[in-house]
Amino acid sequence: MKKEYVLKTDKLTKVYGKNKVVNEVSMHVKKGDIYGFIGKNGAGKTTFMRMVSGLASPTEGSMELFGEKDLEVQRKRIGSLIESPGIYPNMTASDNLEVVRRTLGITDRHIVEKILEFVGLESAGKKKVKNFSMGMKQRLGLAISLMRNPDFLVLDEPINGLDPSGIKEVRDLLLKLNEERQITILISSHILGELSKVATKYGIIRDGVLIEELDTMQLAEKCRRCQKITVDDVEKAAHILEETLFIRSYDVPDQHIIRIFENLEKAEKINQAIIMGGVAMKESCLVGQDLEGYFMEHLGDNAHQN
Amino acid sequence: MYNLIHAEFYKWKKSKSFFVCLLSAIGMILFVYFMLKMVSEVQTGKIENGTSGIVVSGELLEEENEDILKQIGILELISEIISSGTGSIFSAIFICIWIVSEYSHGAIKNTAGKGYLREKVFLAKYLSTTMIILLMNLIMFIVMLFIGFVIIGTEDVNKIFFQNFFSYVALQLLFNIAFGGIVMTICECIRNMAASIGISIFLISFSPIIMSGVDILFQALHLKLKVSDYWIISVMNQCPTEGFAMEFIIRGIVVTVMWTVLSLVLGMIHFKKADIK
Repeated sequence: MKKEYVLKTDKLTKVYGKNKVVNEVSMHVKKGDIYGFIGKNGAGKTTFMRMVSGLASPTEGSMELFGEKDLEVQRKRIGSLIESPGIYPNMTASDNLEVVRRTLGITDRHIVEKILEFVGLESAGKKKVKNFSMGMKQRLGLAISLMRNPDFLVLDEPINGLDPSGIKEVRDLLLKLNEERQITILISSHILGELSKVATKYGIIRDGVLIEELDTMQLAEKCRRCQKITVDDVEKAAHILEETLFIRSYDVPDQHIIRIFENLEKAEKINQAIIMGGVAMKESCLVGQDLEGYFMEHLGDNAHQN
Repeated sequence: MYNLIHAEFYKWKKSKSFFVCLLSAIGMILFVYFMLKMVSEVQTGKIENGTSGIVVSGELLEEENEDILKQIGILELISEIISSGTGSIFSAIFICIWIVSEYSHGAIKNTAGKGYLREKVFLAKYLSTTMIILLMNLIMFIVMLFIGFVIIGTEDVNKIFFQNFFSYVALQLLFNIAFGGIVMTICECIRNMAASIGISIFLISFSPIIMSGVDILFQALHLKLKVSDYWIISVMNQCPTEGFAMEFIIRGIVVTVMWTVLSLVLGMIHFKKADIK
């Protein structure tokens, strides 16, 4: 059970001066997850990821990697790409990877060629990195993070600056890494549509606070199209739904709200039945969100915490 | 630790900054020799006063053996060049480029947080940079010696000359360990190229004067402490070229160890605590 989580933080906090950039974040990333980390600019994603990668130290709170507290040892199992790739612009891609190979003490000299091929930079050849496009630099950054064949990848907006084909390639690459090598991935991105194509779990951060963690099924459930009715007596309304209308697919998220997931085309009949059954109805509407709508609601200024 | 140092030397091999700084230093050394040679030629009347903009005041020398370069001698000339800070400035510029570019390019992210203790990462950087700086300075000394042979001649070169030369070079290389360490720590703490270079040049150019000022102040206050005797750059400038007194050698070693340890410890503490952005 202990080793089920690749990353587990407990009230991790980072304060710069008087500014609490990361505020008591307790995150749980399970082995095999692709964890999509979502938040606006300045929400605290990068700072959090820096702390996970060992580039910044937390002010308060604790962290476990692979179920262990000995973070320096466990960080050998992590590959990371935080903000921009760390590369020497006057060297070639091969040279940059060779530096990393020697730093990490990797004895296989052919790994540089293999990794370059894996990320699609095998033809970069003698070109110096300062002449690379942004997409090529991002790929090189990804290559650096993969050098040690990590068990956990921490990627901060890895598809920044990539064209649509590049985005697709990175997406396919991440899915391949997750499926074939069982690499757990923590990835942040602004491009919600892309994230929704890869992520198996989501964490939403707002003003340094992790406001929600949910997996894809829970997210689908929350975004599911339904008839939402607000009544004064939920029990009586539920009884009417079941006994009179034979509706079984509904839930009660609140003491005055019922969400009905079937017979959405018969919303008027449902309303009539409930009112005629003596239940006062304040509101009835059809609701449902796409992923982007759901996240924007939670990231926006008028969002409320669950 | 071996892996970290191994990677540092690979980077050094691929980097142009070492060669650019070294060649610039050699260029400056050549320039100094050239200027003095011109002065000498003007003074002995071999060329007209004012040639190439060089104006020498005073009377012409009549005897060739009063040639200014021959009067100074190779070792003294080397000492003058070192005291002027020529070698130190280019060493410092190289260190600043070498250390600060790791932060400006973000490459430090590939080393820190990769399972190595921060102290080890800093120590590896410190050791490798020190070795590179010593090599740079050694090459400069050899160049200064060689140019001296060519321009001044080898009349006064004998066994004692070489003993003095090697002793002087050994002491200066030792002092450069501490000097390099101070610059590295400045770079690590500031992490800004322009500021690091500026502060380093300020230290090289003005700190000996400031220390001398403090000595005068202490003397006026009847305090026996002579601060400049314990400041590494002042000690580098004070280094004799012959008759190496045991007192100076011991003081030099103590000062070197003191500033090396201090810079290493401060740099390590800062690197351990500071976030990497």
